[in-house]
Amino acid sequence: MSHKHLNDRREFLRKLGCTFAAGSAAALLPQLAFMPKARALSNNGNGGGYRALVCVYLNGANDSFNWLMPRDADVPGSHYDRYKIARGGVYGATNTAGLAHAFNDILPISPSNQASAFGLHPACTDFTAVNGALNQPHSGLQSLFNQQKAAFVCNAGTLIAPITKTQYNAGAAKPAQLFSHNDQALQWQIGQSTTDSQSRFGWGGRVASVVTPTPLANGLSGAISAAGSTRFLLGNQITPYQIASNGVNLIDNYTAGVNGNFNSQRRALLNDLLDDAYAQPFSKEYAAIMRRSLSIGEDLSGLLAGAAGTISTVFPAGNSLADQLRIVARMIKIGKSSLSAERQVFFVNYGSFDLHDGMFVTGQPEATAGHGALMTELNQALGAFWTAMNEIGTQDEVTSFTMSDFARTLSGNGNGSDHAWGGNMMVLGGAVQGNKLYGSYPKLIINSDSDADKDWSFSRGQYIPTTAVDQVAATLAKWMGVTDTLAMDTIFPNLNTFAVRDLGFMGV
Amino acid sequence: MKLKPMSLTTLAITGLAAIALLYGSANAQQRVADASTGDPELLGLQFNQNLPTEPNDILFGGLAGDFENHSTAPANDAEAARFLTQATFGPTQVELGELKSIGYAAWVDRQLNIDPTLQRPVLESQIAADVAVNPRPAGFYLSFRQERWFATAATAPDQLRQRVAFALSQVLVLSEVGTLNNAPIAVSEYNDILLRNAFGSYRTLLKDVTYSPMMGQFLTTLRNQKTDWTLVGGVPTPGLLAPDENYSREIMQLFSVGLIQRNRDFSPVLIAGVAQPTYNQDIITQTAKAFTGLGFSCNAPATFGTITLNHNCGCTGIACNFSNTAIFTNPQRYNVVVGANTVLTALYHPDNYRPMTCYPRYSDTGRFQTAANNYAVLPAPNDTKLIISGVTINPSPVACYSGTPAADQLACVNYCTEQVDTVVNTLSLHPNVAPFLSRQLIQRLTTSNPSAAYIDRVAAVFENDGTNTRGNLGAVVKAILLDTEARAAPGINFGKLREPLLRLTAIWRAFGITPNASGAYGLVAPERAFVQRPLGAPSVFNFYEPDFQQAGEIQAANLFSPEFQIFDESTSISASDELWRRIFAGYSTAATATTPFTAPAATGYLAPNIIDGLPDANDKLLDELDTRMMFGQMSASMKAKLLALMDTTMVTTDKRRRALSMIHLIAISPEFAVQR
Repeated sequence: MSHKHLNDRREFLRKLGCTFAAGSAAALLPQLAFMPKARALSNNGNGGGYRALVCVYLNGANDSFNWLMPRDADVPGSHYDRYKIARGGVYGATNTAGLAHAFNDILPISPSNQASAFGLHPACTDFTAVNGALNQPHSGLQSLFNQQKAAFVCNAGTLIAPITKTQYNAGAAKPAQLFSHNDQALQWQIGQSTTDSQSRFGWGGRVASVVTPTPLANGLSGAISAAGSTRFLLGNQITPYQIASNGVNLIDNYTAGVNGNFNSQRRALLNDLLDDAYAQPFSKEYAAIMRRSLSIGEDLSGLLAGAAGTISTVFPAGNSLADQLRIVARMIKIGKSSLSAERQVFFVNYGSFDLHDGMFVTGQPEATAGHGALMTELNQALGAFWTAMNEIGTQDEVTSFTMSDFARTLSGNGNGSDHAWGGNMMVLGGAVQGNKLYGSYPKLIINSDSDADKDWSFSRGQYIPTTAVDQVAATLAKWMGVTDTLAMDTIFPNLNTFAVRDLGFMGV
Repeated sequence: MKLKPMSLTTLAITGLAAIALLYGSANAQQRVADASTGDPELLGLQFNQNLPTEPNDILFGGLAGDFENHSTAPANDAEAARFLTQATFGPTQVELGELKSIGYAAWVDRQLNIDPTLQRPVLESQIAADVAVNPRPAGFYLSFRQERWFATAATAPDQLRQRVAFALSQVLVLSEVGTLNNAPIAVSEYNDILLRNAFGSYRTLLKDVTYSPMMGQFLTTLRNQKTDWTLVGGVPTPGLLAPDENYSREIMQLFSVGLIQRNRDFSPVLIAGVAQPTYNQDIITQTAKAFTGLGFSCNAPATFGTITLNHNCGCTGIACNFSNTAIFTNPQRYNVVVGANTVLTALYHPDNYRPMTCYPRYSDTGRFQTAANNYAVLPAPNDTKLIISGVTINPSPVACYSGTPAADQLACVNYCTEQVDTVVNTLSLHPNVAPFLSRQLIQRLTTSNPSAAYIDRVAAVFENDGTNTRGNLGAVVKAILLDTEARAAPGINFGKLREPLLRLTAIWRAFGITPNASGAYGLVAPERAFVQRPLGAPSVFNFYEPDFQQAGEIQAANLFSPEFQIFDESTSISASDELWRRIFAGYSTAATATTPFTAPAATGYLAPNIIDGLPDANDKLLDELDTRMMFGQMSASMKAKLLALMDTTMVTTDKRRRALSMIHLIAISPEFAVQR
């Protein structure tokens, strides 16, 4: 993107401001739908076509050092051995406080850019999704990794600038409120570690405001959440649309055009009330949300109910993440085929990963109980989603990635782990340069302090991240079309403090 | 104090300067400087055309000006209804009459002295009776707890206490989603802890919450163990166990002091423009050590009718505290074999909800783990715990292990409980607690955006209720409700988006909610439509957070709007649909002209005699609904539109249909949505 384009967009927004000078542009955004040419001015720097990001947020801090772990050899001195020691030994009947998986239970992977082997949580196998009478086999994350469709970014976390343990102990700048769930989640979603926890926008929303600044023809925002309100999707002039897992929930008893019980008349009155001007800001916002819900909802509902909104891929039943990703898949399908969307950013949210207790469950399989239950649902939801992307022909156009508050202490507290810092995240998609690990996987040593290896941890194995959220996010943003340096630095103001702006997992 | 409307920028700066003078501190001066860098256009845009006709004197602190006028008694039904919307689960005609006759302060005093309507004793006997004849899995009985909660909210006489306990349940959050999903009796006991302490001492509340095994399970202090220090080759070496930090963090971040240091008016304490953290990770780690060694207490068998439940600790009295196994025992759950299955019911031995007890052998006493070095005191710094406010907990004077001699046992148990008490006491004395708690209780009861002066006035009462007592929650609640900012005509930003459940209960109580023939209200999964379930938040961060700012104009105006966190395109509709089902429950809309009523079997309903007793004439009907639901504050524009629908379109239908249709339209209207 050139500066010229940036100026074009500013000019466009300025004109927009004039158009609606008398009122709030935000409240009137759906009207932009009648300005279809507006989108032509937006900047999709990385070529045309359709592209989407899907943020899979793992709520409560996933113990990601039990998702991706070393599996070189089960001998003293090996990387796996360090893992086993740091995690208090292999969990079992005689070691209920241990948090390590047994060597042979870990699913082997061989990242092409690593000297030694790694492995994934035992839940990450191929599987058959069952939903009522329907069933369908899907690939699991181990297979997708091996097929070069998935990669991991290792020891990523919130950072203001690179920091060593010595610097940390000397009081160098570090992210505010480390180890606190909501604050760290916020910083992941903002895409920078700021001391200002009230920072307005998330990086998903900021990216959307560059690559898809105006709503689609029916008023649908380029930022869509299947998990309710989220900071991640808020952007300048971007008001995220929120959809339920089961699709659009249309209002009952107020159906326009239905005469029974005064439906249409009450609906007209409701519209009238919602269109009124309200001085009280909460009343005004309430009206705007409900009005938007009614107008976009009825259009989307029609699309979702038709062939364009239907997919045949079988998602596993009773899996809330699968439910969310299924509606995302349907929205991608209608977005691309019916609404001429070019860029969309989605958000789903899963779990309660805050396993201070119950990482394993006595007498139950590690692959499916405790943390394994969450890993199983994650594996199955992503596996089915991958199949769905194949069904609608968007495997190369949609990139999913996980984020989580932080990883957890390597050492346990009895049968769980506590809050830590850097962790591992996964990127999945046809455009991903897969079967690789990016960043630097730690040595997994409690209280490590090696500047030579850039390997730093604290007394319970809380690792200092060696890759910043900002870098991960910027790599994805670039793929979405934020190619201009200035625009990138506006979205990620701290990016310049890190040596590498593009981690390379989306190719070059 | 009355002010003439002036440029808001001037007003804001003047007000903040006044605060600065009151404080006379560098920090306050800093705040003024910060405010002056704000965008004046933005401020003007936000407030200019909307200045209240009688600007509140909130910016200047104190109880000057119209205090008397605002705070003695409601001038009319509308003012009374507004107050009761803040103080109860919704105004009723009876409560309205009482309030008008005795005035605000006397009404609050009366409420402060009503015994709590507890939920656990009733729920426990209901469940015990049910499992004796028709035992079902524990999950089934979750609905019993929801029913009990709604019945209490709808009808209990101690409305203020119930409403405050609901507010507290959103600050000291415990949720039955997750670990506690088979323990409705215990969760209702947690609610009772909040009820019993709602008007009592904050310190006692925090202590009761901390010792509650429900909180012990929710935030994992139950059976939390010390680090097992041993000597390895003569070197003190920690084992891989470390105390769980979950509760240690959240009791500070969410239940007491918050993340950054606050002035009494909730403004951040700034040093060179930088906010100051209240604690660091090291304090969390050290505080976690104090929350070790707690487990279910061991008491005698309990009898429920013909059912006897045990807690088999294999010991009695203080011997249990030194047992190697008692801490790992579970109070018995009533299980019964039905056919081929064992049904695990929700009935438990009461140790499941009684306060936790300490097992000193598992508690961090600042000493080694093993007999090899005689359980000696650890070398510094691991012998002591440095917690918040610079308070230090020293090591136990006696060794605490399974073989602790009888003469030392009591000292061990006392050490263990005293260190927990020390944390609780230290937190309750921290200067942040007054503004941190006061602001959140204000947000839950009256407004999302209290002025700094409002917070300061309430926090002052928290610090000293007038009798040199700190943390008197009853006095704090009274101060919140009687404050001039809460009683004066609301400024443009005053108020809060109604919590979804409060929207429903207000309608229920306004129109005489009646349970079905078996006494049920039929709302067993309120979270589906409302995203709010009593004691059923998704996490310890509640349904929404106090600092949430809805994107767009609300955020641009730097307003907080917690409840908007769960109000979106999807929930706006699901709430509307659910409210329709509740309002029309039992009323048939099949024909156009008449609206026959048949008492529904599954749900509660709005009493037909009350609907039928509303005025007949459309304008009078609307006035009555306005008073009951909106304190008579419905705008002329809205009223005209509703009236037109009845006068011109709904002329062929009966009053019931008109009334119920209007109630629903009001219920989903932007004006009703906000509690002013």
